[in-house]
Amino acid sequence: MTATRRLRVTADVTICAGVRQCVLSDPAVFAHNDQHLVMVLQSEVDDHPELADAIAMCPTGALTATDLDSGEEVYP
Amino acid sequence: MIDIDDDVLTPELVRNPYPYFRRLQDEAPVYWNERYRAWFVTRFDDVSQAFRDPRYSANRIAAFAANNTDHDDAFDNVLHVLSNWLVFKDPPDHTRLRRLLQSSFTVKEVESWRPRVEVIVNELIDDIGSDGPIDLVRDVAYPLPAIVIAEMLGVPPGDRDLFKKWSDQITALVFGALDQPDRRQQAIVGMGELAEYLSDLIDHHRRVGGDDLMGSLVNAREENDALTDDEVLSTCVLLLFGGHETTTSLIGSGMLALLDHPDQFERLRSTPELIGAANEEFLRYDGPAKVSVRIVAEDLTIRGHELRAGSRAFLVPSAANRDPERFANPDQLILDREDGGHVGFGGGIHYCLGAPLARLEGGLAINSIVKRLRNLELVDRDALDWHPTMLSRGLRSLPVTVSEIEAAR
Repeated sequence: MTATRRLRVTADVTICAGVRQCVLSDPAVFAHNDQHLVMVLQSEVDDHPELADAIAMCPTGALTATDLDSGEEVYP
Repeated sequence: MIDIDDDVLTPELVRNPYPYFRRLQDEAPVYWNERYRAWFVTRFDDVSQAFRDPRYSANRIAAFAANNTDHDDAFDNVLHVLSNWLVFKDPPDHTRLRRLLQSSFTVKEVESWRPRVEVIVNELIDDIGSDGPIDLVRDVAYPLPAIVIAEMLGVPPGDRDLFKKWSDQITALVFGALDQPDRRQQAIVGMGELAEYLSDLIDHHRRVGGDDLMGSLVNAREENDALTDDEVLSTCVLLLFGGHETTTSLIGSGMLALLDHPDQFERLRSTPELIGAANEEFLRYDGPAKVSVRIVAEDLTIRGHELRAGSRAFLVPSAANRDPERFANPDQLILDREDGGHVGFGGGIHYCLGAPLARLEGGLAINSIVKRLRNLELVDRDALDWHPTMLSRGLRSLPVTVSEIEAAR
C-alpha cells in the first residue's frame, strides 16, 4: 500500500436497515445506536482494509467513504 | 377487541389483503389473532423496529418441532435441514453463517453476474412462443431465478428441471400452502431427493474444486472457521428456495402493478434508468414478503400489549409498506416516490441476503419485458390466481397478450 489516504466516512441512517455487517467488520468505525441503526464513530480515518470490508458487506448501500482531499468516492 | 374475521386466507384476502391490513392498522395495530395464535404487528414503525430488536427471535423451528411431536424419521430429516437455515437462527450461530455467506452476496459480487443474467432474460423472452398464450410468470418470472441460482451453484443445465420440482415441493411446506394437504409428504420426498443430489455436488466440489458459489461455500473460511457439509447442504437448499419463488413473485407482481398503472408503465418504458427506484416501489407496493414470523424471546410491551416470552409475533411487511403514517398515497404506485424505503426485505440481522440478486434479476427482467413486449395487455384482471399462502404473496400466473416481441439489442 502506498501512502495512506485519509477518508471521510458517511452513513445514511434513512437507508440503514440495521443488518450489523459493518459493526462486525470494523467496530472501530461503526457501532449501532439504541435503535439498532448505524452510527459512525470516526468520520475521518486512514484508509484500512476493515473499512473497505465493512462498506462492501453492507447490503443496503447506506455506507460510503470519500477521499478527504479530492472528494472522490473510494468505497463502495 | 375489534370485530374482524381471524381468517386471513379467505379467497378474497388472498386476492387482496390490503384493506384488511389497513383496518388492523387503524383499529388494532397490535392484534392477537386467535385462529393463528399469533400477534399481528402491522404499523411501519413497529414492524421496522421489531425486525431490528433482538427480543424477537427468528428460531421458530425449535417451537415448531416441539409442537409437532408425532413425526417420523423422514420428517425429522426435513426439520434438520431447515434448522441449519440462517433465517431460523439467532446470534451467535447466525452471525457466523451470515458472515460466511455475505461475502458471496455483496453488491459487487452479484453485479458481476449482470451480463449473464441479461442473456438469460433475453433468451427466455426469445423463447416465448408467437402462437400460444403468453404467461409472464411461466415464461420469464418463474424460470429466471431457478436458472440463475442453479448456475451460481454449478448445477449442470440438464438437471435444472429437477431443481425446479424440488423447489416447488419444499416451498409448499415452508410458505404454508393452504391448497396442498399433502404438502408435508411432498416436502419429505423433495427434500430427500434434493439432499442426495446436493451431497454428490458438494462431494464433487470438495474433490475437484470450482469457482462457483458452491465452491466458495465449500471453501468459505472466516477466522479459521468453515461450513460443515451439513451446513453447506442446508444453505444450498435455502438459496435455491429462498431465491426462487420470492424473485418470481417480485417480477410477477411488479409487472401487474405496471399494467394497473399505465402512466407509470409508460414512464419506465421511456426512462429505463428509473428501474432502481421502480424495483424498490414494486417491493413496497406489492412485495413477496407478506408476513415474517418471530418468536418473542423475552416478555415485552408494544403499544400497551404485553407479549409473553414464547408467543408468536407475525410482523407484516405487506401492511407496514402501505402504512399511511409512513407513506403518502400508500395504495398508489409511484415509481420515484420521495418518501421511499420499505421493509420488503425485512430488516436487522436477517435482512434479505439475496437482496442485491433480487434487485438485479427483477430489474433486468422487468425492463426487458417492458421494452421488448409491445402493447402488453392483461388477459383478464378478475381471473388472476394468487398463491394462497400466509407468509408470501405472489401470482401463480400472469396471462397477457402482446402485438409484437421485439428482438433484443
